[in-house]
Amino acid sequence: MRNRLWPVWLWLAMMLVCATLAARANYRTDMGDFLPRARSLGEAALEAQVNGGGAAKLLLVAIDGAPAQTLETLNKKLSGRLRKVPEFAAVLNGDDTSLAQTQAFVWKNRYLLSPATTAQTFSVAGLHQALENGLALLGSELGDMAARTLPADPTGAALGLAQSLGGTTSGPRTDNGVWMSPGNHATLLLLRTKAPGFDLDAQQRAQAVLTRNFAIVRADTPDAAAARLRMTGPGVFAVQTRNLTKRDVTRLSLLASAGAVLFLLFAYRSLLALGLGLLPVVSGALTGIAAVSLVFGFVHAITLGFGVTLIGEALDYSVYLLTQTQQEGGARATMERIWPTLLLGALTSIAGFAAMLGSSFTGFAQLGVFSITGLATAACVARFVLPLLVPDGFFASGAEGIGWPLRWIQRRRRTVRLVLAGTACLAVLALGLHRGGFWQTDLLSLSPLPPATQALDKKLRAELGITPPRDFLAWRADSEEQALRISETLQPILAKLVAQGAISGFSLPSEILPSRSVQLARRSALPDDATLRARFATASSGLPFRADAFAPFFHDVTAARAGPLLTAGDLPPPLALRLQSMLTHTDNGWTVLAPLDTVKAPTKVQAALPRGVALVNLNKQSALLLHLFEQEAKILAICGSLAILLILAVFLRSLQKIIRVALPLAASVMVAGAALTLGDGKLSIFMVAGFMLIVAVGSNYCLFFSRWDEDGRARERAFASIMLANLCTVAAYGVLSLSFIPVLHDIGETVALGTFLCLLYGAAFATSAQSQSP
Amino acid sequence: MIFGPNTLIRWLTICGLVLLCAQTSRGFTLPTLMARLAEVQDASARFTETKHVPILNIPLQSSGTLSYRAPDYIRKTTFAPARQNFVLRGNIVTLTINGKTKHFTLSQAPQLAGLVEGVRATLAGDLPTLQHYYELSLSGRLAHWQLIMRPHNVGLARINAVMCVTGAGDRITEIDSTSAKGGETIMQVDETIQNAQ
Repeated sequence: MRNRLWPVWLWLAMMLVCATLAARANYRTDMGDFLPRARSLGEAALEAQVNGGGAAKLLLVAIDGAPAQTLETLNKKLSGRLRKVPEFAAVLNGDDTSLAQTQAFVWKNRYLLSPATTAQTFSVAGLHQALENGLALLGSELGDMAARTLPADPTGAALGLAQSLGGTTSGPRTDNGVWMSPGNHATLLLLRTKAPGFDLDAQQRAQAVLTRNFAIVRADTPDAAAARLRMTGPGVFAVQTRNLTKRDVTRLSLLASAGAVLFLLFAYRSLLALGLGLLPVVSGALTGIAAVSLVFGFVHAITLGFGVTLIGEALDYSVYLLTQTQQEGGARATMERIWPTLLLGALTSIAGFAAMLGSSFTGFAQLGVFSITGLATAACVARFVLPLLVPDGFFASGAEGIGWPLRWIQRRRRTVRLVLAGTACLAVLALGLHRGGFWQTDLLSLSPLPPATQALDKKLRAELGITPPRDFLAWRADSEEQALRISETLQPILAKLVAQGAISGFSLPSEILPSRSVQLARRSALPDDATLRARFATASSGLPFRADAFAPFFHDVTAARAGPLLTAGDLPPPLALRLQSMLTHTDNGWTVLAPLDTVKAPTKVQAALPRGVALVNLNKQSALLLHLFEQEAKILAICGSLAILLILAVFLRSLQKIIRVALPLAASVMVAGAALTLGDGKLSIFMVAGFMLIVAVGSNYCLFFSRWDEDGRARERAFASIMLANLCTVAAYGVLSLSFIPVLHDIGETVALGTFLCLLYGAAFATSAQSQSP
Repeated sequence: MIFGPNTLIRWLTICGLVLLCAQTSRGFTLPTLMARLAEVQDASARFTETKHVPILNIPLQSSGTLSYRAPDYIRKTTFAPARQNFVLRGNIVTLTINGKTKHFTLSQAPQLAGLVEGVRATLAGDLPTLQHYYELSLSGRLAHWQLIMRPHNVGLARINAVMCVTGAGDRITEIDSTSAKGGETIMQVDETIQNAQ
């Protein structure tokens, strides 16, 4: 007895190991980890953007629904409260305190930050010129402001910096110290969370803190009862998406499994059998996770989701075994009998999935490893473990009549074949005549968020003046210092391009934090106190300035000469975040992304750039990525199909038999593809996984249909098992197609339709001629 | 002596203002003045400006031309001592000083916005905007009026403590503004060039 049960013990031990590995695996959700390893600068740029540096931490907030003055009060009170909570790194609402920290930093470090800190500026001639300019400024409309800054900053170092570091070029209108939307309908806030954008739990907490504080503020403000707060931003989107998905997944998958469970219970009339039926797929999933974690070092959440779908075929293994088990002989004898078919089915799927291993998309490669190990394990469990656990004398008494629709097709085979063949021809025709690409290229349409939410985001971004830049200069460096030095060499080139009108503006990391070498040079350009005073006296002679007016200037220059150089750690939060959004530290150095405003002459910009610096357009880059994806999907499909044909050829060794299995499969895929792209329909990238599953599951149907060596009764049970397997699949995936979440809907629709077609085409074309009679 | 010289002057000023207010003709109110100002579609003038700046030994003198076109275009061109140009069109300011031109929007310089809007709203007779930025008090009669404007906003008050606009009928004759730091600017307006561009 003990000897006979050794596969069970081995399996239990293996599951224990895999479960431990799965529990300790590193799960990731960053989209960037799913994409191909970045090789070109453009890909690196896209990756940095997708992984969302500073931009992913933004929360855009609008408060409306009350008179303008009430909105102002609400905004001020809310900002005051939010500045005290730990969730937010920055709360900007247009008041002076939002800017005060940055202004104080720029003012204090103006000589290290300003490109005008040169020996020339501090010469007698330079100082004289500066004082003349100052005098002109005093007489202008900016005179009152100049009168305040001139005594400490006669060279205008801070004035020049205010323009480059002052922030957005087209911010919202400030009214009584808060930002107001055009028409005073809403007041605006811009928040930055401390937590990174991909930490969805922290993002959700921050959003809850915002909502709660708004409720408190609204309660103690008169006339504010109707005011409402609306927020958007990457974090808000991510949390909303997750919650929508969670809701749909729990609700629909409950419903979906309920359907499948009902069918299985009806057929098996045994709870134990129902539980046993899950063993292969659960074992497969655990092994899959363990294998991916061992090979890649991490498991992507998307791999997990799609992977479990791909090895859904393993559920059918137990359906075949349990439904076909006959009273005489029991499960072990049945498994001996159906194993060759099951093995071939598993091998064809594995061959199909193996093509994914070669993909440059890390996610695809992970899916390949997951599904291959998962299916292999599931097949082994079904073969060696499951039969030992099925109680003696088990018989799926409810499955008796389940196969009748297939028998009906068999009886009217001629008519059914005609109809199905005609449909397949029409499908091929439709695919041939299809205009435009087959693939969904609009990434937004893949977003599960309602259009109203997307529209609000667009509006708030425009009003706050933070439309994400599309064009970047990208370069790589070994160190932060080198990255900043390259940035400094680009400064004059870009300034010239702006003057020529090729671009309308730019931001460089070295404007926020100059390299150490440049800072050193600037510091040493400052003269000592005695020299400066002497030069200043000469420079100001003949000008109407009061002699004692410039004491703050002499003090500040002396302080700057003795002060330390700036590091990234010294920057105030708003500037630090801007620097972070441009500099990305990766495993092999630093990647820099410097945004450009409206590139009007790309070729001119490209020609002006030094080697190693690239002009990157993110729209083009993501289109390129989708194109790559499409190419790979095609290659995977072709390689997978060839591999499946090869496996069939090796095992079946008969052209007639190969055709009998492959033809219905090909026809089903064609019809499903034509149906999904009917009219203006496009295939989404999610449907790729669906098609793979169709082929994996459908090949099993066809293989069982094409068995030629069975007697009438065994055949009857085989039909019943295929019918039951398909009922479960269609029930489960059909329910998923009701979801509004694109990924669930697309996969559900594809798989439910495709596998049902496989059942029809298989029953009509794959069955052997010998047993045509009922 | 109970009264110092400063207090005495202030006392006299208050008396003068009271007298002036008593003379204010019935029916001459802010809306009346604003309605008159709003009728002006187009105006040009010469100006001379005297600016007292605390860090300078002598006051700065300048002169040039002003032009206004309803509802929101203002240009101030200074010819002496050096050429400067200030243009406000809608929300965009174009400033040319020392041969360099800068563009910016009023929303980028909220403090300047209050200052500029004050002048422009007065010219346009836009009472709501004016009241949004300033506390207003009007004295005199239509033939000779004086409008005193104190900013509501603390930030604006730091730059421009009080602004006093003097006018006759629908013409402005003098703008006098005092900064919190002790600077004072007096601009005399001589509206002689009609419809000049």
